[in-house]
Amino acid sequence: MRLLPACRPYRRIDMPDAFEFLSQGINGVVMGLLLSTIAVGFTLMLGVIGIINFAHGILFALGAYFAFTIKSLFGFWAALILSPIIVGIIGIIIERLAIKRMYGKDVLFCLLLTFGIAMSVEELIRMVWGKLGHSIAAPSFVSGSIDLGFMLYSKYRLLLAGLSALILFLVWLFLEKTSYGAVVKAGAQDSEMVGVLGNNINRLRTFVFGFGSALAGIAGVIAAPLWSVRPGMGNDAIMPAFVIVVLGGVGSFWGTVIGGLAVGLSISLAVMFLPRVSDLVMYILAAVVLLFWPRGIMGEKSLLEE
Amino acid sequence: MGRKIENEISRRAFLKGTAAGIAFLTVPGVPTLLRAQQPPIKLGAVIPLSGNYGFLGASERCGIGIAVDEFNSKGGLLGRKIEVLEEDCATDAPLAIRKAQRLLQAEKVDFFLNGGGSSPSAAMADFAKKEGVINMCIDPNSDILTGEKANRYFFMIPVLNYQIAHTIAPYVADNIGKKWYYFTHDYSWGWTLTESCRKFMKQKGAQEVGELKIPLNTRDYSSFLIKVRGAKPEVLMVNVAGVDFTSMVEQIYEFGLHKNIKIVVPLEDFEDAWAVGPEKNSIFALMGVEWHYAIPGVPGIKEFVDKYKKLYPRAPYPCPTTNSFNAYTGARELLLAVERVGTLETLKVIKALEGHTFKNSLKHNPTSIREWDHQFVQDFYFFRPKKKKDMKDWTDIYEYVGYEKGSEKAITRDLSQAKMEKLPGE
Repeated sequence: MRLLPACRPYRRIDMPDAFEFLSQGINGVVMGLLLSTIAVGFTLMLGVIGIINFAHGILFALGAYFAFTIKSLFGFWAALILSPIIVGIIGIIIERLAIKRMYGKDVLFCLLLTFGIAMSVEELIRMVWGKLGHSIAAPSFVSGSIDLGFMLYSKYRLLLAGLSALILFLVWLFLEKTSYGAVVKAGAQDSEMVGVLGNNINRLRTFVFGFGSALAGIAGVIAAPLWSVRPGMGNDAIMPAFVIVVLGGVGSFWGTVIGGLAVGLSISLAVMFLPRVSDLVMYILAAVVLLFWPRGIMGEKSLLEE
Repeated sequence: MGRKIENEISRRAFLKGTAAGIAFLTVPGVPTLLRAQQPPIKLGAVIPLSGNYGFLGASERCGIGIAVDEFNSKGGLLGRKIEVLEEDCATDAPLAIRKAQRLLQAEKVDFFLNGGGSSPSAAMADFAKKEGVINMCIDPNSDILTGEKANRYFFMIPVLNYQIAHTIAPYVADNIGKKWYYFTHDYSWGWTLTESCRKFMKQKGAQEVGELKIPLNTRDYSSFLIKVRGAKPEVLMVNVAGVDFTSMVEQIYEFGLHKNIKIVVPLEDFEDAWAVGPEKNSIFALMGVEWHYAIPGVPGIKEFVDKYKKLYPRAPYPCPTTNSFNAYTGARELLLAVERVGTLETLKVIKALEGHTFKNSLKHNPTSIREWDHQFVQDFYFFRPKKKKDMKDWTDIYEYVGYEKGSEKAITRDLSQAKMEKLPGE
């Protein structure tokens, strides 16, 4: 098999299709890492608290909007740190004021509540930042493109891939290597048992909601220079997040990462063959996967089956 | 009884009353007061203030405002003030119709102006015909609007895709490159623009190496850009508009696609260029533009720009754009037609507009309103990005290249699908 040497200048390539395939593959992985970062907070909330949080997309949008304001005042790195913290605090307030009243009730109540919250916050965004979108420039040190030998690629997307991988690694580290992470993981398996064993279940739920919100916020910050900020941008996040979680399996960290990469790669590869279905391909993929693994690739029994 | 009352008014009392009435009416300000009590002439503006073309509405309301101010500042029209009632169509056809319906039934507007792209405008063309009300269409460019949707109540100010392609495509084939790739926005405007470009591209012996249809509201173009690079075209024709266009320009810049491929945008709105900034806007080898203040040697442009800046010092765009220009032209010509016939009667105003030619078009040649499809036939321009060192400010982004006459490049009757109906009484 002929491999693709990265050192060869892309202009002398005699196999454009193979190089395009590789380029699309790399791009799909980058997109997948971003989508996984968007979805990981969503799956934690679904797995641990047992709610389908339709406000996840709007928390993602808030992260991007706070980044828009903070970046203009203090720069990108300040936005990357402060914006998720603010969104996390907003998440905690939402959980304390509204979500906690829905625990133990039909899952549809919470779905409707979070849907209402999403619509209200979207209107608030329109009031505060205006109806029109704003573009956010990438930090100057990653502006423009870099020659990878076989293709020119966006420097910012490479940074984004690195940041997404780092965020996912830190979440994994927290879940796997800390004692509270173990409680959160246990909560994803059986939250009632976690309470019976002496853990403060309410505090756990508040923490997970705040943590999930902050993850949505940080995904919003890193996605903002790619996709610009618009009041309706939450919809760009919530649908892929939902599909990824269903695809990967509810509450599963690795399921979410695999689901995100699968969606990113499938969109990227669909553009090569059937560009007009690139919007649909993640839904088709989810449908096909669910035919063979009804609980998703790495899923176990969840509230979606109740 | 009537006779008795008449008898009771003495000749002296009648004279006294008449004198008092004349005196009252000659007191300064009184006629104005009486006139002010007349209901205003209402213009319903169904324009985009949110959605994919949300930014156009901000320009359009200024253009309409300038035209209205020209009349109101000299006392109004037919002795009545003009009022604009604005609704946000959110770039959505069913919503545009609901808003127009409300304006017509609840506010009883006399005329409509509409924007928001091809889909809401096609719906507004049907609405105007059904309700028998004049609608001036101020921002889309799809050929169907004065083709299959043409009707006697609907007037189209912007240049059509056919004319844009007829102007730009031969120039690109002769001067920029012969191997073309298309990005086509996946709805009627994008399809018709690419189709027209393709026709003139073939006539000039240029070759198509690929096309990607870009779904509306696409946010990430990375996969599309990688695919284009693989096809190795000389020219990428970007037939994409609105927020999608600005996202795409940012990502083309991010991926450095313009370093190997000449990027041409057959139709660019200044609002888009403003959104991405002059540096990213410099990726283009050529841009088609309906109107910009940088058009040289045309009388009236400076006054129009001054008026805009005086009336709208805090407008989102610091200079008038194509869309404020088209909105101004549409509103002004409608109101001038009313003035010419001295009535608001729809049929008479339609006839005053049909076939009318005006010299103060703010372009090189006079603009005509064609009778058989209601198209405003006007010149179309092409520019290239101005070098940063030559810019006076951030609105000064275009370097003039040239123009083609509307009368020579617009679609002809034998190619058009326009079939106009007869008006009642004709």
